[in-house]
Amino acid sequence: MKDANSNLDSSSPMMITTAYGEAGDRNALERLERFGGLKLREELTRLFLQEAPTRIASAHAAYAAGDTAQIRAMAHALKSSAGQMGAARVASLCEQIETQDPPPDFAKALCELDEEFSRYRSWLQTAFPTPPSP
Amino acid sequence: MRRILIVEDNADNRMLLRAVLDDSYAVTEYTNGPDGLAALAVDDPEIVLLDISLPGMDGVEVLRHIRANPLWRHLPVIAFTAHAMSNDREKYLAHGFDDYITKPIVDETILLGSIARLLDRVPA
Repeated sequence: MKDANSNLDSSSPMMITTAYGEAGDRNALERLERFGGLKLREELTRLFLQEAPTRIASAHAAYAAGDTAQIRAMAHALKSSAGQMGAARVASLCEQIETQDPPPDFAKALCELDEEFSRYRSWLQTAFPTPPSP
Repeated sequence: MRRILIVEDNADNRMLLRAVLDDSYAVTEYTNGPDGLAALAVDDPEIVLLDISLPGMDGVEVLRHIRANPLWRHLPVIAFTAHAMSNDREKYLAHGFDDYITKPIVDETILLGSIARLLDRVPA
């Protein structure tokens, strides 16, 4: 079977292995702290947790409307954000939804996306718990 | 400080670029092609970091507009994109981009190195 990543640019950070461990990549979030401190990591986390469900919901709506181009556009937009946030499984699924030819079973892929995003959110709460408000 | 204009519709990518670039460059940012194009005359950037998958006018079309203006024909423009298939680099360079950087940013030195190299060609 052809690997879903076999056509990716080998120098690309979107090269995501399909052999998964955790739902999230701690290194990616630590990298964000290196770029812009705790503030950047927390702001990007807040933004991702806010925007990703909206994007996924829009993909479900596009699927219901039979709008394949919109499903793929959503997947493209979510892919880089997910990769940036260390949500590797989410990013990998988005890659498949965006580029796989012939197209995947979108209904199945979007359900998997729901599940993987939930798993990532749970992982995040454990790996990087939000401190209680003062 | 040397001037960079960013056109990127995703807020998280703009935030990240700011974190990486703000200490070294004067950065202005826009969320769509028409606004970015309109800002060229005002901000007078020395380099442009241009997303490809923009709503409405995509990055390739924005580049076409930039190159059509004699003032900006030689303005360095970097494609900043999550399109990362094996032939995408060649495809975007063939469109006239000066370099191609993939999202997400994993190694910021690749981006910073590209910007520095291209700015070396532009008199300060």
